[in-house]
Amino acid sequence: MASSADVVKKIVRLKLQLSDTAEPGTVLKILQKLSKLDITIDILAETGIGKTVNSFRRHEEAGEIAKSLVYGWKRLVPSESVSPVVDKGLTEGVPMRDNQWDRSFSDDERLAQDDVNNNSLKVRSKNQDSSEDETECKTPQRKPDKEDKEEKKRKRKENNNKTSEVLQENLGIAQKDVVTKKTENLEDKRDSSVVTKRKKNCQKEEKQGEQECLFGSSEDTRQRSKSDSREKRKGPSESGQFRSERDSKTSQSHSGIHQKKNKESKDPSSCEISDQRLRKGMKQSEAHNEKRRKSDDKPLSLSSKESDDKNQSNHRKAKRKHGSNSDLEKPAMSFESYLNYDETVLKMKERSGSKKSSKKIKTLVKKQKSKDSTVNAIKSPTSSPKKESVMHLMDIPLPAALPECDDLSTMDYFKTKAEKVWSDVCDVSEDSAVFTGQRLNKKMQVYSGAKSTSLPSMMTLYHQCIRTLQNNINLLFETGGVPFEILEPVLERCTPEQLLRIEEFNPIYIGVTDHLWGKHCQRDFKGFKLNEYESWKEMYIRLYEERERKFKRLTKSIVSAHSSKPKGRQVKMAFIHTVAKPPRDVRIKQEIHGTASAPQPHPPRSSGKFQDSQLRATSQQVEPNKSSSSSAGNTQDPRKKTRVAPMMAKSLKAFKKQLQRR
Amino acid sequence: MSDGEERACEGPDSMYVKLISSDDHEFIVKREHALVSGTIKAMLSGPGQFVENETNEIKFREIPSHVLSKVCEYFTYKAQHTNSSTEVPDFPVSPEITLELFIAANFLDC
Repeated sequence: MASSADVVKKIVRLKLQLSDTAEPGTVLKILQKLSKLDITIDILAETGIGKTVNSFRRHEEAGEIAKSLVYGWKRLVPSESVSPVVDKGLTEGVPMRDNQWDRSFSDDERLAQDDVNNNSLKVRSKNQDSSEDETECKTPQRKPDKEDKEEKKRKRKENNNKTSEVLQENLGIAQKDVVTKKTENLEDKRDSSVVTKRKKNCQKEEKQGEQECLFGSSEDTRQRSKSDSREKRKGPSESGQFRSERDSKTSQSHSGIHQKKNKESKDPSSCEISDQRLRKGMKQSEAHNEKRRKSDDKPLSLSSKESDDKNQSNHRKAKRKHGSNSDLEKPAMSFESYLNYDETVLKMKERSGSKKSSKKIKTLVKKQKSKDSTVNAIKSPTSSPKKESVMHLMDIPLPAALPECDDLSTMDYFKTKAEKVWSDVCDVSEDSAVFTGQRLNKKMQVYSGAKSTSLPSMMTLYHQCIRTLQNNINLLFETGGVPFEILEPVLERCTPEQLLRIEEFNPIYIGVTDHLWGKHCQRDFKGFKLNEYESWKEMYIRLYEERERKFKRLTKSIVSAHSSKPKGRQVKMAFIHTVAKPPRDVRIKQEIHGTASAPQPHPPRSSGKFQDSQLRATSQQVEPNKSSSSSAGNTQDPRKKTRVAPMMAKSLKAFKKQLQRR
Repeated sequence: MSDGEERACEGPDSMYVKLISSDDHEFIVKREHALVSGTIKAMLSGPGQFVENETNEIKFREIPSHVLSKVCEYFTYKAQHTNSSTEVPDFPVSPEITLELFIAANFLDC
């Protein structure tokens, strides 16, 4: 209906306003507007205005109005708790808190019995209903129940507005239905409670209050539609009647709250029947709703899952890419010492490290053949042993690019060059100074094992490279066009031979290294002056060659001098012309004991013998004259004079003089 | 790390920059690490607006990958040991690549 649609729109607007505003004044106004509007159960369910108004129940100023509004709307809804109470009303004052099922049984019986006592029933139900209303208001009602009640109330309204005849007819039919569907009623009641629980659970599962509301409203609409369909199936004529009545009722104004009350005093049996049907419809619709919800959830979840999967796959792909990059760039052995650093650095290291094999594959796949050859060329030297001339392979890539290198950095280059060179020189001296200084300051400590050298300060990569190069000058052959200036710190530490070799391989250095040669000249050939038109290098070479020649000459002469001398072991005679002399102590003893053996020199033995014989002859003549000692002395006298010590000689002379005087 | 998206070197303030060697190997390093090199620093944040500043990519046509990887290693080494009171070990340089690395270091001013 158009008017109902308008009302719905208005209510929706008001609802939005309510939810938006915070001022109590506006809230009051809106609530008043709402109270004026004709609000039916349908509209309540569609818009959910009841909920919003209910939320203002505890408002400072508008709370009372909100409460009254809510109360009024609640009365529209035929509640579940009302129906058994209504049934009790049939049972002439049975207390409200009887067992529902007993009630239903008894109600059915009574219904069957009391066909015509509609009016009385109505009256009683009226009374009961008033009390029921109160109970209704008191009992906490969940929103779906509320709306169910709304539906029931609506139907009661409709029923009340019917003529008694129609009602009776309906009753009769409804009673029949009731009788046949007793068990169903029971089941419905049970199921409804279960279903409501299920509803609750479902709502909880949804986790969103907004969705709950939406679903609640949608459920109700669905329920209503389902109940409509159910009723259609059950009793087409009745439902048609019901529907027409319902339609007529929805158009009624809201001012009939009291009218509603009157309407509520309708046939309770019909209410009950309608309730039953509603409940059935509800249950089935709820079941359907659940199914739908589940199915909805499933596609939703699937879609969400798909989207999640997509995101995850994207993430994974990204990760894989990084991972693959990291795989490609696994750290070499030298990285492991740095792996204590944090993760980021680790990853960066992983990324920045080089796993050349996989990258080689990549490059091979991607690149042109020329590049491949260069790549392979570069890589082959790394595998080759150190002794080979590695550096000359650098000729290939570098010279083409070096001008660029210079162009880009010429300004800084020249500025820093001098600094670097100077700093290099300084570094060496400073390092030594620092180290000695450290040693002086600290107590001398003794460690065993090799001391790991630590740098006093962080050296730049440039300096590190220079140090390494200086340590390995012998490996330096071709430099591939490295400018002399930047390599100078290394070349300063070369020996002349090394310098010569490097110059040989890298002719570009020839003219530039002269000052180095000058240093060498001054060191090696002191005192020589530089000839005119001669570079230090030439001078050095000249002097060096001179020295070499000199050395050679000398060696030759020495060699030759040595060559004439007999080689090998030689035997020489100590007493060639003289008699072998006994050692002194032996000789003294010989004189004492007179055991001096006749001199028997080896070589002139024959002559010696003659002399001996002559001597013996003389000695024999002398023997009788002299004692043996004298003979011994005589024997010795002709050959040698007994060497008398000088002091002894003086004393002997003195004795002789004394003897001569006596 | 949560900066999976930031690993792309997009934007002026990205965390990472990409260094490309002569043989087209791409090394993605942290920006602050790369700024150790004076040349890279000038390229990325210099007074003039270089292309590299926008794309955060620098191509080195004269530095091969085995050298550039070592350079990146050095960045790490430097970052780790700067302001570190512990003993600073030597940065190992194998003799085979020393000369190339030396040239690169001279160019990169690091």
